[in-house]
Amino acid sequence: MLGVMDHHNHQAAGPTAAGSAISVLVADDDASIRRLVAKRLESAGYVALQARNGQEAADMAREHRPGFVVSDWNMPKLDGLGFARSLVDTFGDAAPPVILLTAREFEVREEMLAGLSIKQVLCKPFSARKLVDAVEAILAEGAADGPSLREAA
Amino acid sequence: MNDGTSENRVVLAELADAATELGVALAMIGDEPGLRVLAPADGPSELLAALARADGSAGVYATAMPCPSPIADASLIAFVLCPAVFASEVFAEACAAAEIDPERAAETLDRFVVTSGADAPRLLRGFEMLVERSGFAAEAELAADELADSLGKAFERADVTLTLAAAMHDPSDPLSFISAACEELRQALQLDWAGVVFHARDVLPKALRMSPKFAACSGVEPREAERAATAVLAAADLESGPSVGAFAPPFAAQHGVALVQPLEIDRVAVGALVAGRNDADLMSIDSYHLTLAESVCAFLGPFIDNLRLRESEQRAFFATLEALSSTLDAKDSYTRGHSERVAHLAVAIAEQLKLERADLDRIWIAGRLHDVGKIGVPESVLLKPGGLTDAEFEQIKRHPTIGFEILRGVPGVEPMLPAVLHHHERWDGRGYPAGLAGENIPVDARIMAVADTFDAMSSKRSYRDSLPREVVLAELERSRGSQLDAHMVDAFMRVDLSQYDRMAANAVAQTKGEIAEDERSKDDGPAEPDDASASRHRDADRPDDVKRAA
Repeated sequence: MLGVMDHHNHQAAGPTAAGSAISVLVADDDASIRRLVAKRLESAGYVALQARNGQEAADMAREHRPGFVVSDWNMPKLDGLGFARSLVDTFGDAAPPVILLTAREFEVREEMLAGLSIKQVLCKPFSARKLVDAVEAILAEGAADGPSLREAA
Repeated sequence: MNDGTSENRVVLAELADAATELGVALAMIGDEPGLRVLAPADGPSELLAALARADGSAGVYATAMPCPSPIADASLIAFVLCPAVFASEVFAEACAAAEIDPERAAETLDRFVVTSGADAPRLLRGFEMLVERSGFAAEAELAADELADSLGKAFERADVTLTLAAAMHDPSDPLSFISAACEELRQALQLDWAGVVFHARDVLPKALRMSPKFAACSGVEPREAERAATAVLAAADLESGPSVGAFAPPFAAQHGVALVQPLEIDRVAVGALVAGRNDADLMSIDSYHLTLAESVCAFLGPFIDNLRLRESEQRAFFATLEALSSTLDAKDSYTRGHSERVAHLAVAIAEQLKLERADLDRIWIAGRLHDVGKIGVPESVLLKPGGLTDAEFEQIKRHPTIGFEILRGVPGVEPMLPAVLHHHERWDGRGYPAGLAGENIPVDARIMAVADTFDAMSSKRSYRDSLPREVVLAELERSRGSQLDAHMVDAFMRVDLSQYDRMAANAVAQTKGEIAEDERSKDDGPAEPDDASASRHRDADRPDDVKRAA
């Protein structure tokens, strides 16, 4: 059991693959959720950037080129899908992977995600622990797939 | 210094920057001995520390204020200097002590010098307000963190609940559901181990009754967990509800803390959910942990209760089937135990074929029911000693269809119907009722045919004695690919028949007793007609090949 715990700690130190921590842009108009996600990501070793709406997120993404994005769907000014679209417009194939958060999972349809870099849709309420696990899994998968998202970004 | 978190360090650094900007030097007194100079960050700190203490003399103006509590449990000293300080004795001594040239020191400290003592209070008051504001900001930050934290806990709890709700609909493997629930809890609470202990075994569903004492656990070896749980339970009072406690070292050389949440079925405590951490900090388990454990138990209780209910329904179902098949036994004492033996053999064949547990259950029931249709065949035909006429044989041949008709309205029996209807089909298509051939015959029916044929030949009938084992096996071999599916015969040949032989011996012993009784009562009634002429259709319930052997 201690082995498992140690392993987990390794994982927490994992995201500093190339020497510098991977930055994750967290976009949500709900300050508590934004903070919750950002804090959990930070304790897992990531650098968290926070944006309060889709437009701010799109601007920050252009400036900071985050390695990963966690975004709410329903946000003022620009929603999560619009923001995800802006990522593809800006970065093309190198758009960072996105986890989309939504309280209305049933409204998400496959065709809405077409052409976007959304890897997973998580329904609120979600487990922050599982969200961090998912970020790690998606990043690991991307790294295994060859041209890493980090390199691309 | 009590500024442990990185955030607090950031806030302090920001305050120091603001002080430098404003032209104020800053020092801190905390639980460490002495002064710590924060601003200027690159200044001659020893000299500055000496000046900070020299308030009220020689041109040093200082003010002390509590550091905002969310940042650090300490006091801050902000101070500015007047030009007069550089001519003072304090300054000269401090420079000497720090081995700094007084002229160079004065140059370095130039930015903290006010031209007039009258400016000092205004400047210091300005900085005080800045500290106050950063205190409010830090407090707001803290409150926001707490809000995010409790949101995270609420989300975590909702997630555990939803995960369990989604998983609990499959009762096929209750232990792994319980284990999964424990693991979910362990992960959500970042505990080292979690498990369920049952103590009231007699009220548990059968599927759990045979489970180890520590029924399901995660994060730890079951034996270790059991020892831990025993220690925890010995100390806990389950009657009084959930509890948290420290307990004796359950794992080698380690103390731990654990929570105990009673697990109730129908308001009766049957065990407990026990989960813990391998450190001795009692405070590391709080009401959040207990609430989540309670949520998990709120799922486990009804889950186990449902399991119990399902089992009792299943028992009722089986009892009905037993009743149905014993009706036939009562009618035809020669076939007494036949359905049980066929069920046993069919399952044994299915095991050889490596079929799933659910398949074995279905095949066993089908075996018990396969001849139920004989209830609809007149006793005069069914029990007739000697041969059958064509018309009588046609009546016998109706029993699979009659069985199918009887059973098809019974809920839960649909999966067994193919075996009942088709167990007299032949691989070569010459069987009945449908004349199906080869793989068109349902698998269950092909298995049943082998088991049925073997038992029919091995049993004593009203018209013949049982056949020796080697004759029966030779017959089965001969029927491969004509009457019987060769694949099923091969599987049968690998079956260990010792259990079957015990079942057959029991049936013979019982039947002998009853037949003796029957013979006595027969003396009073009319004698059975002796129809020796019709020998053509004897062994009518078994195909031609077998008849020849008899």
